[in-house]
Amino acid sequence: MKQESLNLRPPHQVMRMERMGVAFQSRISFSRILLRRMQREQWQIERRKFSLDDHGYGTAVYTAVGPHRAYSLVAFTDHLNDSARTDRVIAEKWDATFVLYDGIPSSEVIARLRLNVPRQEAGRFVESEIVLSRANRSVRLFDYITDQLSSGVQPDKDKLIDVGYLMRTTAVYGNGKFGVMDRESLLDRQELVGPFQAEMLTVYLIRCFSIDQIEHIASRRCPTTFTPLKKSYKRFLGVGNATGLGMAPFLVTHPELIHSWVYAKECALARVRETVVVTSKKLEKFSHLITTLKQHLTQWRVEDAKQSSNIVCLQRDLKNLTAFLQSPEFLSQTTLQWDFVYRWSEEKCTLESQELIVSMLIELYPELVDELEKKLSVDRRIIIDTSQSIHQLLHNIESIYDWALTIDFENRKNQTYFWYVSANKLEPRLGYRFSEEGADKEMALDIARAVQKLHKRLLKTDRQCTLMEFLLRYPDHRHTVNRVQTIQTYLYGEIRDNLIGRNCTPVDLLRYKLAFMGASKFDPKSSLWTRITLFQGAPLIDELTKMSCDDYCFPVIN
Amino acid sequence: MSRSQNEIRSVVSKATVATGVPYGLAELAGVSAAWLYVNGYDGISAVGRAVDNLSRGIAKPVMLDCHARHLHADVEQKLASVFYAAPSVTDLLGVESVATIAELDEPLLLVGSLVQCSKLQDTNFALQFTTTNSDTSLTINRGELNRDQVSALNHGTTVGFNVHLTAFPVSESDVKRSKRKSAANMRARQHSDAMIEEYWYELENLAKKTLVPESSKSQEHGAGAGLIDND
Repeated sequence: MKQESLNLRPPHQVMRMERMGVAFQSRISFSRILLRRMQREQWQIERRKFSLDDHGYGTAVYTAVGPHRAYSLVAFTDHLNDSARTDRVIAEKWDATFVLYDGIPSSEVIARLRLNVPRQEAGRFVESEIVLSRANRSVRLFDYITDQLSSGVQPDKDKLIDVGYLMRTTAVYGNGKFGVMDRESLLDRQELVGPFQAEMLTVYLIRCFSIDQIEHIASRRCPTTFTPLKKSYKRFLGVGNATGLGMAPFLVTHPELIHSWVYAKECALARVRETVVVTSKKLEKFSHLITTLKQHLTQWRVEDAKQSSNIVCLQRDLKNLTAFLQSPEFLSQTTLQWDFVYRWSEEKCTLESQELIVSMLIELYPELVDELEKKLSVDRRIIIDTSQSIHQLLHNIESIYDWALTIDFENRKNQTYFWYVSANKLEPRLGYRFSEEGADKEMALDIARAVQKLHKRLLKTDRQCTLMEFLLRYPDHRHTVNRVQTIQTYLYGEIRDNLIGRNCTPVDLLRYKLAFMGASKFDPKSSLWTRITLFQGAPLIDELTKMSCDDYCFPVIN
Repeated sequence: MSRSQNEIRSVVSKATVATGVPYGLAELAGVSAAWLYVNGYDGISAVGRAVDNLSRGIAKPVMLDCHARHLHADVEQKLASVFYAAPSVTDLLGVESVATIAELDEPLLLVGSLVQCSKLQDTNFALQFTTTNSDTSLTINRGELNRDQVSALNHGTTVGFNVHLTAFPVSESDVKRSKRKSAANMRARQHSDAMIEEYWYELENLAKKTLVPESSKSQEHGAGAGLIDND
């Protein structure tokens, strides 16, 4: 990627877990990119099949038709006992299961999918299936809203705010999993080549289905009194997602890609900060954003004590920001006001508030930011530059991985955990190294420790030795050498913390990735998993081509 | 049954790790096998045999005779394991234009690796594979393989192939040609029948050795998310 000559925040500031764990979505989050494209290209979404019984069980097909191709969400819904309902990926039954199909499925195809999709991981899929997913109804909201609508009454707004979605996905699988289409097959499709665009399309269509399904059930229950859900309420409802550790290693195993995401976001921030003259219109937009955000924060309700307290801090910092914008100090600033705001935030606000302000600033300038969405994809390279000398490699380790070289791995607390792949679900997990079996099968996510080992070995190696000879002699270090060489170019590709240490909080990694997806209302349930909402406040399918589809960064319900 | 490239990459690299090959080498074997599969070659059988060769001590890691730019097994009278030889010769051709490998066990996987290398490094390769009774030449131009004689490389041998490799830079006509073909190459699974299922199942079983069985403790905390859905 061609590097921009902007004043970017450095990787050692950005790629720390404590900052990553307080990230927010932005204009270049993936769900936002998808809807902007769908609006720009005037995509049409057709409900081609909706064969549900009175309880909402059956089959539905939604087809999204773009300028080049059509994609169909095929949904299967079945009865699920409450006792079988779990957030965990280890579940075997769900309220609804989905597949994103490449094209429009025939009845024969739907019959084949019927046999496989509800089985999820136990089913088998072919290349015409792009994404596999499943979701459960919200226990708190689904039946309640059904009851209300069938009685002709709108649901209580507060209850909608508390949950924010009708269905919550527990997995969204793509890229070849269980036989579905590989990502390589999407590379020549502009509409899906961006990161997770197929997955985002699936989730958006699931949202459409969940709203249609609840109205269907309510109308069948009492056709004479039924009333449809208010449009503004529908728009507020997104799709929930429960995310555990399965998502975390991705951020480590795709350094080039993560760099491209972070680099794009940092470029976006730098472009805004380097705007010399800020117009009154932009200042007004910023004020409006603050007002929306204040409301958004009152509607961001979580049980987690730490996040609740963080929300209070966000509210305090927003109040201070409002005052700062009216202060003589700010008003006397005639140029580079956004840079001034950002620097003020670094001095006066919590990390979470700083990251919120980053997203707010980016939000103001679609004309500077949106084209960065083209820079979010990059090819993986597993190739080593053997012309590099041992001396140069050592130098690069010492300058890029200085943080890793100081960790004392003799101290057990610094290698408390090991990451592994579970035999039961083929998904990443976290184990306690000194009290659980399986550390001998550890995944290669112990970057800091591996780099330190490589550094020690290189120090003992004759500097006249070539890298090629070194790798022949010590093939165990090959992966780490490749990693270091990759990070030399893709500096934002490395998380600069010890991922096996006692202080590692995987939920920070999850939030960071989910923020890039476009998630809001982060609702951490422990240090290992979180719930979030996608597409909350986004336009409905009949609004997609009519209204501005890009003003839901901080969704609110009025 | 059709497999995705991702499944092939994952199973092959895990199975290779389970055989004792370091991860950095194993992941290259996965990439090579996936490319071969997509392009209609039975890389899975080649991986299966290469795993077997290592496990039985027939093939060994390689060492380099620097002056002769020559790779060979680090134990005499043994074959050079492709899991070690393919990445090493790729390294060597990053700084040299000619290299040789003595008694390579599974040349098809080497071809898959060099195709990847050719794409990433904008390099062309000419390869000559020789056994006591055969002589096979191939060219790889910017990630495009001249396919005519590939099948001759995929039947296993106990004596191994002597390989002579030459690297040379790509020409402008190579660039134009590969651009035309790249879209076709990206489409996966055009030759999904190119796989011997027995080898696949063996590799899957091997790959399972890198997985950790769930315990009641790991089920409680290992994945995160709550056991009860009260949402």
